[in-house]
Amino acid sequence: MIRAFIGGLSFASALFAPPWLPLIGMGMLTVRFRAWEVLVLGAMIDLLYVPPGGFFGIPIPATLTAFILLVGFEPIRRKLLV
Amino acid sequence: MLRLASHNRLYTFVFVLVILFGILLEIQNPLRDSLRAGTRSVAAGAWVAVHGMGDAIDYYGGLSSRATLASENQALRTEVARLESLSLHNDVLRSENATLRDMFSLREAYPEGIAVPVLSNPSASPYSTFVIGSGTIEGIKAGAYVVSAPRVAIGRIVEAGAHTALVGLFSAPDKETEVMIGKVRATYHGKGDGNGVVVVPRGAAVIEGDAAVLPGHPFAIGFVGAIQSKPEDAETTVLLRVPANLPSLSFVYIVPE
Repeated sequence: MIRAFIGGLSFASALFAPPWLPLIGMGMLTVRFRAWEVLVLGAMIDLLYVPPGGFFGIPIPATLTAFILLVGFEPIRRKLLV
Repeated sequence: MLRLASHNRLYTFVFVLVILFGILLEIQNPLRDSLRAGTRSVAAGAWVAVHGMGDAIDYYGGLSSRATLASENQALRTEVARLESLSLHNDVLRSENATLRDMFSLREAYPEGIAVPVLSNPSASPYSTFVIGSGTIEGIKAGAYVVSAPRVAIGRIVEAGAHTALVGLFSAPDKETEVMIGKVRATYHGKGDGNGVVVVPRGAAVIEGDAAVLPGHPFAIGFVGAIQSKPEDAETTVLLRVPANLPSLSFVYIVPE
Protein backbone atom coordinates (compact mmCIF):
# COMPACT_ATOMS: atom_id res chain seq x y z
CA MET A 1 0.00 0.00 0.00
CA ILE A 2 2.77 2.43 1.02
CA ARG A 3 4.78 1.30 -1.98
CA ALA A 4 1.88 1.95 -4.36
CA PHE A 5 1.24 5.36 -2.78
CA ILE A 6 4.87 6.52 -2.97
CA GLY A 7 5.16 5.03 -6.46
CA GLY A 8 2.04 6.83 -7.68
CA LEU A 9 3.18 10.07 -6.12
CA SER A 10 6.60 9.73 -7.73
CA PHE A 11 5.13 9.10 -11.18
CA ALA A 12 2.77 12.07 -10.80
CA SER A 13 5.55 14.33 -9.54
CA ALA A 14 7.70 13.39 -12.55
CA LEU A 15 5.04 15.09 -14.68
CA PHE A 16 4.05 18.03 -12.50
CA ALA A 17 6.59 18.72 -9.75
CA PRO A 18 10.24 19.79 -9.49
CA PRO A 19 12.72 16.99 -10.27
CA TRP A 20 13.89 16.54 -6.65
CA LEU A 21 10.47 15.15 -5.71
CA PRO A 22 10.57 12.02 -7.93
CA LEU A 23 14.20 11.60 -6.83
CA ILE A 24 13.13 11.53 -3.18
CA GLY A 25 10.35 9.09 -4.13
CA MET A 26 12.90 6.84 -5.85
CA GLY A 27 15.13 6.99 -2.78
CA MET A 28 12.30 6.14 -0.38
CA LEU A 29 11.13 3.24 -2.53
CA THR A 30 14.55 1.73 -3.04
CA VAL A 31 15.57 2.01 0.62
CA ARG A 32 12.59 -0.06 1.74
CA PHE A 33 11.69 -2.22 -1.26
CA ARG A 34 13.37 -3.89 -4.19
CA ALA A 35 11.33 -1.48 -6.29
CA TRP A 36 11.86 -2.29 -9.96
CA GLU A 37 9.26 0.37 -10.81
CA VAL A 38 11.86 3.10 -10.18
CA LEU A 39 13.58 1.93 -13.39
CA VAL A 40 10.33 2.50 -15.27
CA LEU A 41 10.02 5.92 -13.60
CA GLY A 42 13.59 6.81 -14.61
CA ALA A 43 12.97 5.60 -18.16
CA MET A 44 9.78 7.68 -18.31
CA ILE A 45 11.63 10.83 -17.18
CA ASP A 46 14.32 10.21 -19.79
CA LEU A 47 11.85 9.51 -22.58
CA LEU A 48 9.90 12.66 -21.73
CA TYR A 49 12.58 15.22 -21.05
CA VAL A 50 16.11 14.24 -22.03
CA PRO A 51 17.25 16.16 -25.13
CA PRO A 52 18.82 14.33 -28.09
CA GLY A 53 22.50 13.87 -27.32
CA GLY A 54 21.75 13.38 -23.64
CA PHE A 55 22.43 15.47 -20.57
CA PHE A 56 26.17 16.16 -20.30
CA GLY A 57 26.47 13.41 -22.91
CA ILE A 58 24.61 10.80 -20.81
CA PRO A 59 21.57 9.50 -22.74
CA ILE A 60 19.67 8.07 -19.75
CA PRO A 61 20.64 9.96 -16.56
CA ALA A 62 17.41 9.27 -14.65
CA THR A 63 17.37 5.54 -15.53
CA LEU A 64 20.99 5.19 -14.45
CA THR A 65 20.25 7.08 -11.20
CA ALA A 66 17.35 4.71 -10.55
CA PHE A 67 19.56 1.67 -11.20
CA ILE A 68 22.33 3.01 -8.93
CA LEU A 69 19.79 3.63 -6.15
CA LEU A 70 18.32 0.16 -6.62
CA VAL A 71 21.70 -1.58 -6.42
CA GLY A 72 23.29 0.87 -3.96
CA PHE A 73 20.59 0.43 -1.34
CA GLU A 74 20.60 -3.38 -1.59
CA PRO A 75 22.80 -3.89 1.53
CA ILE A 76 20.67 -1.50 3.65
CA ARG A 77 17.51 -3.05 2.28
CA ARG A 78 18.71 -6.55 3.13
CA LYS A 79 19.23 -5.43 6.73
CA LEU A 80 15.82 -3.76 6.87
CA LEU A 81 14.07 -6.75 5.32
CA VAL A 82 15.53 -9.28 7.79
CA MET B 1 24.47 -17.39 -0.46
CA LEU B 2 22.60 -18.95 -3.37
CA ARG B 3 19.98 -16.18 -3.09
CA LEU B 4 22.70 -13.49 -3.17
CA ALA B 5 24.21 -15.00 -6.32
CA SER B 6 20.81 -15.07 -8.03
CA HIS B 7 20.26 -11.40 -7.07
CA ASN B 8 23.62 -10.48 -8.52
CA ARG B 9 22.76 -12.28 -11.73
CA LEU B 10 19.44 -10.46 -11.84
CA TYR B 11 21.09 -7.07 -11.32
CA THR B 12 23.64 -7.86 -14.04
CA PHE B 13 20.82 -8.76 -16.40
CA VAL B 14 18.94 -5.54 -15.55
CA PHE B 15 22.16 -3.52 -15.99
CA VAL B 16 22.54 -4.96 -19.50
CA LEU B 17 18.92 -3.98 -20.21
CA VAL B 18 19.60 -0.43 -18.92
CA ILE B 19 22.68 -0.13 -21.16
CA LEU B 20 20.69 -1.40 -24.15
CA PHE B 21 18.00 1.18 -23.33
CA GLY B 22 20.71 3.87 -23.24
CA ILE B 23 22.02 2.78 -26.64
CA LEU B 24 18.45 2.74 -27.98
CA LEU B 25 17.93 6.36 -26.86
CA GLU B 26 21.36 7.49 -28.07
CA ILE B 27 20.98 6.32 -31.66
CA GLN B 28 18.40 7.82 -34.01
CA ASN B 29 15.95 5.04 -34.85
CA PRO B 30 12.21 4.61 -35.43
CA LEU B 31 11.71 2.60 -32.21
CA ARG B 32 13.17 5.43 -30.11
CA ASP B 33 11.03 8.00 -31.90
CA SER B 34 7.84 5.99 -31.40
CA LEU B 35 8.70 5.27 -27.74
CA ARG B 36 9.27 8.97 -27.08
CA ALA B 37 6.16 10.00 -29.03
CA GLY B 38 4.04 7.41 -27.22
CA THR B 39 5.28 8.45 -23.76
CA ARG B 40 4.76 12.13 -24.57
CA SER B 41 1.24 11.65 -25.90
CA VAL B 42 0.23 9.72 -22.75
CA ALA B 43 1.83 12.43 -20.60
CA ALA B 44 0.19 15.14 -22.74
CA GLY B 45 -3.22 13.66 -21.86
CA ALA B 46 -2.35 13.92 -18.14
CA TRP B 47 -0.99 17.46 -18.51
CA VAL B 48 -4.07 18.67 -20.37
CA ALA B 49 -6.43 16.96 -17.88
CA VAL B 50 -4.64 18.44 -14.86
CA HIS B 51 -4.53 21.93 -16.40
CA GLY B 52 -8.31 21.69 -16.88
CA MET B 53 -8.84 20.35 -13.34
CA GLY B 54 -6.64 23.12 -11.88
CA ASP B 55 -8.68 25.76 -13.68
CA ALA B 56 -11.92 24.22 -12.38
CA ILE B 57 -10.61 24.08 -8.79
CA ASP B 58 -9.47 27.71 -9.04
CA TYR B 59 -12.85 28.67 -10.46
CA TYR B 60 -14.80 27.01 -7.67
CA GLY B 61 -12.54 28.39 -4.94
CA GLY B 62 -10.51 25.30 -4.08
CA LEU B 63 -11.38 22.25 -1.99
CA SER B 64 -13.27 23.45 1.09
CA SER B 65 -15.79 22.06 3.54
CA ARG B 66 -19.50 22.39 2.75
CA ALA B 67 -20.19 24.88 5.58
CA THR B 68 -17.26 27.04 4.60
CA LEU B 69 -18.37 26.91 1.00
CA ALA B 70 -21.93 27.94 1.92
CA SER B 71 -20.82 30.97 3.91
CA GLU B 72 -18.26 31.88 1.29
CA ASN B 73 -20.91 31.48 -1.36
CA GLN B 74 -23.20 33.96 0.40
CA ALA B 75 -20.40 36.47 0.84
CA LEU B 76 -19.30 36.02 -2.72
CA ARG B 77 -22.81 36.52 -4.09
CA THR B 78 -22.91 39.95 -2.52
CA GLU B 79 -19.39 40.71 -3.58
CA VAL B 80 -19.89 39.51 -7.13
CA ALA B 81 -23.04 41.57 -7.58
CA ARG B 82 -21.13 44.70 -6.68
CA LEU B 83 -17.92 44.07 -8.50
CA GLU B 84 -18.95 41.88 -11.40
CA SER B 85 -19.37 44.64 -13.95
CA LEU B 86 -16.30 46.54 -12.75
CA SER B 87 -13.35 44.78 -11.25
CA LEU B 88 -13.82 41.22 -12.44
CA HIS B 89 -14.56 42.07 -16.05
CA ASN B 90 -11.85 44.65 -15.97
CA ASP B 91 -9.27 42.15 -14.72
CA VAL B 92 -10.30 39.50 -17.20
CA LEU B 93 -10.26 41.95 -20.09
CA ARG B 94 -6.94 43.41 -19.03
CA SER B 95 -5.33 39.98 -18.79
CA GLU B 96 -6.84 38.88 -22.10
CA ASN B 97 -5.76 42.12 -23.67
CA ALA B 98 -2.18 41.70 -22.46
CA THR B 99 -1.94 38.14 -23.80
CA LEU B 100 -3.45 39.09 -27.14
CA ARG B 101 -1.24 42.17 -27.43
CA ASP B 102 1.86 40.06 -26.78
CA MET B 103 0.79 37.43 -29.30
CA PHE B 104 -0.19 40.08 -31.83
CA SER B 105 3.10 41.90 -31.53
CA LEU B 106 4.93 38.60 -32.00
CA ARG B 107 2.72 37.79 -34.97
CA GLU B 108 3.53 41.18 -36.49
CA ALA B 109 7.24 40.78 -35.90
CA TYR B 110 7.46 37.15 -37.06
CA PRO B 111 4.51 36.40 -39.38
CA GLU B 112 5.97 33.00 -40.26
CA GLY B 113 5.79 31.82 -36.63
CA ILE B 114 3.00 30.16 -34.65
CA ALA B 115 1.79 30.37 -31.04
CA VAL B 116 1.72 27.01 -29.27
CA PRO B 117 0.63 25.87 -25.80
CA VAL B 118 3.19 24.77 -23.20
CA LEU B 119 2.26 21.29 -21.91
CA SER B 120 4.81 20.44 -19.27
CA ASN B 121 6.03 22.78 -16.58
CA PRO B 122 9.63 23.81 -17.44
CA SER B 123 10.55 23.40 -13.77
CA ALA B 124 9.45 19.73 -13.79
CA SER B 125 12.27 18.66 -16.09
CA PRO B 126 15.67 17.88 -14.57
CA TYR B 127 17.29 18.73 -17.92
CA SER B 128 15.92 22.26 -18.52
CA THR B 129 13.57 21.11 -21.23
CA PHE B 130 9.79 21.27 -21.64
CA VAL B 131 7.16 19.84 -23.95
CA ILE B 132 4.91 21.95 -26.19
CA GLY B 133 1.61 20.87 -27.70
CA SER B 134 2.47 21.15 -31.40
CA GLY B 135 4.70 19.08 -33.63
CA THR B 136 5.76 18.46 -37.20
CA ILE B 137 2.15 18.23 -38.40
CA GLU B 138 1.60 21.82 -37.20
CA GLY B 139 4.83 22.90 -38.93
CA ILE B 140 7.25 22.73 -35.97
CA LYS B 141 10.79 21.76 -36.92
CA ALA B 142 13.90 21.06 -34.86
CA GLY B 143 16.11 24.14 -34.59
CA ALA B 144 13.27 26.69 -34.51
CA TYR B 145 13.54 29.46 -31.92
CA VAL B 146 11.16 29.49 -28.95
CA VAL B 147 10.15 33.06 -28.15
CA SER B 148 8.39 34.12 -24.94
CA ALA B 149 8.18 37.86 -25.59
CA PRO B 150 9.12 40.15 -28.49
CA ARG B 151 12.87 39.78 -29.09
CA VAL B 152 13.34 37.34 -26.21
CA ALA B 153 14.18 33.73 -27.10
CA ILE B 154 14.28 31.20 -24.27
CA GLY B 155 15.37 28.14 -26.22
CA ARG B 156 15.16 26.08 -29.38
CA ILE B 157 13.20 23.06 -30.52
CA VAL B 158 15.50 20.10 -30.00
CA GLU B 159 13.12 17.35 -31.05
CA ALA B 160 9.80 17.40 -32.88
CA GLY B 161 7.22 14.61 -32.81
CA ALA B 162 3.90 14.52 -34.69
CA HIS B 163 1.87 16.59 -32.19
CA THR B 164 4.41 17.42 -29.47
CA ALA B 165 7.92 18.83 -29.45
CA LEU B 166 10.73 19.14 -26.92
CA VAL B 167 12.19 22.57 -26.19
CA GLY B 168 15.76 22.87 -24.88
CA LEU B 169 16.32 26.05 -22.88
CA PHE B 170 19.43 28.13 -23.53
CA SER B 171 19.90 28.15 -19.76
CA ALA B 172 20.29 24.32 -19.57
CA PRO B 173 23.28 23.47 -17.35
CA ASP B 174 25.09 21.55 -20.09
CA LYS B 175 24.56 24.17 -22.80
CA GLU B 176 26.94 26.78 -24.19
CA THR B 177 25.79 29.49 -26.63
CA GLU B 178 27.69 32.25 -28.41
CA VAL B 179 26.26 35.69 -27.55
CA MET B 180 27.00 39.37 -28.06
CA ILE B 181 26.66 41.75 -25.11
CA GLY B 182 26.99 45.18 -26.70
CA LYS B 183 30.18 44.80 -28.76
CA VAL B 184 31.61 42.01 -26.62
CA ARG B 185 31.42 38.49 -28.00
CA ALA B 186 31.34 35.78 -25.33
CA THR B 187 30.16 32.28 -24.49
CA TYR B 188 26.98 31.96 -22.44
CA HIS B 189 27.09 29.04 -20.00
CA GLY B 190 23.66 27.87 -18.85
CA LYS B 191 23.22 27.33 -15.11
CA GLY B 192 19.63 26.08 -15.04
CA ASP B 193 16.36 27.74 -13.94
CA GLY B 194 16.71 30.56 -16.49
CA ASN B 195 20.13 31.62 -15.24
CA GLY B 196 23.42 31.82 -17.08
CA VAL B 197 26.95 33.14 -16.78
CA VAL B 198 29.25 34.90 -19.22
CA VAL B 199 32.92 35.61 -18.56
CA VAL B 200 34.20 38.75 -20.29
CA PRO B 201 37.59 40.50 -20.19
CA ARG B 202 38.00 42.91 -17.30
CA GLY B 203 37.01 46.43 -18.31
CA ALA B 204 34.65 45.26 -21.07
CA ALA B 205 31.78 47.68 -21.63
CA VAL B 206 29.03 45.66 -19.96
CA ILE B 207 26.49 47.17 -17.60
CA GLU B 208 23.47 45.84 -15.71
CA GLY B 209 20.43 45.57 -17.95
CA ASP B 210 22.41 44.92 -21.15
CA ALA B 211 20.97 42.23 -23.40
CA ALA B 212 22.88 39.10 -24.42
CA VAL B 213 21.90 38.71 -28.07
CA LEU B 214 22.39 35.76 -30.41
CA PRO B 215 24.88 36.88 -33.10
CA GLY B 216 23.11 37.48 -36.40
CA HIS B 217 19.67 37.28 -34.83
CA PRO B 218 17.36 39.82 -33.21
CA PHE B 219 16.79 37.63 -30.14
CA ALA B 220 18.08 38.29 -26.65
CA ILE B 221 18.51 35.14 -24.56
CA GLY B 222 19.19 36.93 -21.28
CA PHE B 223 19.75 40.25 -19.59
CA VAL B 224 22.63 41.22 -17.33
CA GLY B 225 21.45 40.97 -13.73
CA ALA B 226 24.75 41.38 -11.89
CA ILE B 227 28.44 41.86 -12.58
CA GLN B 228 31.03 40.25 -10.32
CA SER B 229 34.57 41.47 -10.49
CA LYS B 230 37.51 41.31 -8.10
CA PRO B 231 40.46 43.72 -8.43
CA GLU B 232 42.94 40.82 -8.73
CA ASP B 233 41.00 39.05 -11.53
CA ALA B 234 41.70 39.53 -15.23
CA GLU B 235 38.13 38.63 -16.11
CA THR B 236 34.67 39.73 -15.07
CA THR B 237 31.81 37.31 -14.41
CA VAL B 238 28.50 38.52 -15.76
CA LEU B 239 25.33 36.87 -14.38
CA LEU B 240 22.41 36.78 -16.80
CA ARG B 241 18.75 36.05 -16.26
CA VAL B 242 15.94 35.22 -18.68
CA PRO B 243 13.32 38.00 -18.49
CA ALA B 244 10.49 35.46 -18.34
CA ASN B 245 8.85 33.56 -15.53
CA LEU B 246 9.47 30.08 -16.92
CA PRO B 247 7.16 28.06 -14.61
CA SER B 248 4.20 30.31 -15.46
CA LEU B 249 4.53 30.11 -19.25
CA SER B 250 1.30 28.95 -20.86
CA PHE B 251 2.01 29.89 -24.48
CA VAL B 252 5.20 30.38 -26.46
CA TYR B 253 5.77 31.57 -30.00
CA ILE B 254 7.80 29.41 -32.39
CA VAL B 255 9.87 31.18 -35.03
CA PRO B 256 11.40 28.99 -37.75
CA GLU B 257 15.19 28.97 -38.02
